[in-house]
Amino acid sequence: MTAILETKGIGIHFGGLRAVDNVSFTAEEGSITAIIGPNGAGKTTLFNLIAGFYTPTEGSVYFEGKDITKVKTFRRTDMGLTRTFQNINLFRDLSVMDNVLVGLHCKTKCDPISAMLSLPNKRKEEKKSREQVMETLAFLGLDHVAEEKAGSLSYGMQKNLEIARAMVSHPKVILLDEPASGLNTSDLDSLSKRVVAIRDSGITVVLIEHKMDVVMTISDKIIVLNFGKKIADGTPDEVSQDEGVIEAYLGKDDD
Amino acid sequence: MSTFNKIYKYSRIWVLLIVAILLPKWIPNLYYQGVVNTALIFAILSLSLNILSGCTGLFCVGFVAFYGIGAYGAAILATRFQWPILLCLLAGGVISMAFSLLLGLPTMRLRGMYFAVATLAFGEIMYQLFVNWVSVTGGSSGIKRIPTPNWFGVNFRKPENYYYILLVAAVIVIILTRNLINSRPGRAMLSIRENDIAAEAMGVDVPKYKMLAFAVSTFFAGVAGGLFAFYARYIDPTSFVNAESSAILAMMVVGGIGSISGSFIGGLVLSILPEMMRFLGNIRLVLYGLAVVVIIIFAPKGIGGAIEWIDGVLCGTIKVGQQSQAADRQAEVKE
Ligand SMILES: Nc1ncnc2c1ncn2[C@@H]1O[C@H](COP(=O)(O)OP(=O)(O)OP(=O)(O)O)[C@@H](O)[C@H]1O
Ligand SMILES: [Mg+2]
Repeated sequence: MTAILETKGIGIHFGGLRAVDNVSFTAEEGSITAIIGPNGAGKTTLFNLIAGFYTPTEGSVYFEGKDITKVKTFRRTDMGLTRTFQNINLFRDLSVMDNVLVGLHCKTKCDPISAMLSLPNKRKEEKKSREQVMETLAFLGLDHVAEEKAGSLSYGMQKNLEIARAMVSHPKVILLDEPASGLNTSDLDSLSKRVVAIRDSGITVVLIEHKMDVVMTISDKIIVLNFGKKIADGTPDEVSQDEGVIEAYLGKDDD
Repeated sequence: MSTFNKIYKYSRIWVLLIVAILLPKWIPNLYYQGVVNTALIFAILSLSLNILSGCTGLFCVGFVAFYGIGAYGAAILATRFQWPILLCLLAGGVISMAFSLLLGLPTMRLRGMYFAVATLAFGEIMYQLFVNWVSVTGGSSGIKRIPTPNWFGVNFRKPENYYYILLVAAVIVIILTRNLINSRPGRAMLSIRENDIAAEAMGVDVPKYKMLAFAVSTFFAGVAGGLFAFYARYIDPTSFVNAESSAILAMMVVGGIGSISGSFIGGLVLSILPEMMRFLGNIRLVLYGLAVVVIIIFAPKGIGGAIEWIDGVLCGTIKVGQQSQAADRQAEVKE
C-alpha cells in the first residue's frame, strides 16, 4: 500500500502552547486511519494543518507524494483533499441540496456567463450535479430533506450533511472530524457502516473520533496524540495494548 | 396543493408582467411617470447592489459611484464619439466593472469593514472627479444634449415610452441574476456569505468569487447609469453624491438582503414613497427614515421576506399558522 497522505515532523505553536508538536504519520491509500487522543490533544489542529487552514511552524505535508505545505486550502480541495468540521460549518440558510452542490464546486465547470445566460452546457451540468447530490443524500439518509434549510436540521442530520458535502465530489482523501459526536447508539452503527462504505468506494478516510468502539472496529490504523505529540501508531490491537496509551488515554478517559 | 395554488403558481409572473406593461395607461400625468421611471432605475440599482451584499455579505457604501461612472461613460461615448446607444449602455457597464476591478483587487482580501470604508472613499473620489475633471465630464455644468434612442420608429423621449426600455432592462437584469444565483458560481458566492471557512473547504476561491460578485453588480450599476443618462438627456454630478449611495443601501436592506424580488421592490417603494408623501412637507424625510428603521427592526428579512411568505402561502408550500419546521427540530435537539 502506498501512502497517499503524509506529514513529516509537522508542528504549530500558538504563543507558548505547542498544539501540535513534531507529528509524522502516513495514511495509506484505501484505508481508514483514526486519530485519537484526549480533549485538547491537538487532533483538530492537526486537521487544520493538513487541510491548510493553519500554516505549520515546522514540518511539511505531502499529498500523493507532492509537498503541499504551501498550497492554499481551496486548491488542496481541488486536488482531492476534503474535510468535515467538528463544530459544524454548514451554509445554514441554504437548502440541503445547495449545501451539497457547493461540495461539487471543484468537479464542475460552469462559468458566470453560461450561468447567467443559462446556456445548454450549464443546464446539462446542473442536472447531472443534482442527480449526483441526490445519490449522496440517499446514502446518508438525507434525501427526504433535500429542499429544507440546512440550519433547520437536527444535530445528527447536520453531522451527516457535513459528510455528504465533503464526499459528493468523490475526493481522494476525506478528513472526518468527530462524525459520531452527538449521535445515539443506533445512529452510531449506521455511521460505522457508512465510513466503511466510503473507504470501500475508494476514498481514503482519516477520522478523528472519541467513541472507542467505533474506532476499534473500523480502523485499519490508529494514531494517538497527547499534548500535541504522537505517542503511539499502529493497528487497533497494537495501540490498545500500548502502555503509554493506556496511561494517557484509554485508562482514565473513555467517553 | 389545491387548484388555486396551482393557478396562482403558473400565472403570477404573467399577471405581474401584464400589469407592468399596462401601467403607463393608468398613470395620471407625466410627473408620476417620471417618478415611476426613476423608481425602476433605482430598483435595478438596489438589485445590483444585492448581488454583492446579498451573495457575499460585503457592503459597498459608495455604490452610486459605479452608477455615475456608467452614466458618464455612456454619455461621453454617445455625445463625443457618436456610438450607438445600445453599445454605449454596455460600454458604461464594462467601464464601471473595470473600476470595480481597480478598487476590488487590492481591497477584496480585507475584512468587510475595511472594504466598506474603501468604497466610501472611492465614492467621494469619483464625485470629486465628476466635478473637477472638467475637460471630460464638463464639471458642474455636466454633459448636455445626450441623444435619446430612436428604435423601431418609437420616440423614446416621451417618458411613457422610455418606461418600456427600463422595463425590458429590469426584466433582463432580474432573469440574469436569478440564473446566476441558481448556478455553480452563484452558489459559490452565496456560500461565502453563509460561511467563508466552509466555502474555502469546499474549494471556493473566496477572493475571486467576491470579486466576481462585485464585478457583476457594478456592471449592472453601470448599465443603470447609462439608462439614466439617455433618459435624463442631461447629467451633472449632483445625481451622484454619496447620499444617493445610502439611499440605495436603504432600498436593499428594506427590500431584504439576499432576496431578488425584495431588493427590487425595496427600490421601487423607497423611490415612490417619498414622492407620494410630498404633501407632508419636510417631515416626510423624517417619516421615511423612521419607516426604514421600523422595517429593519421588525422585519429583518425586509419586504422580500414578507413577499416570499405570502408567495409561499398562495403557492401552498407554506401553511398559515404552521410553526416552522426549524423550530420543531430545534426543540427536538434540546430534548
Ligand atoms: N487558533 C488557535 N489559537 C490558540 N490556541 C489554539 C488554536 N486552535 C487550537 N488551540 C489550542 O490547541 C490545543 C489543541 O486543540 P484542538 O482543538 O486541536 O484539540 P482536539 O484534540 O481537537 O480536542 P477535542 O477532542 O476537544 O476536539 C488546545 O489547547 C486549543 O486551545
Ligand atoms: Mg477537535
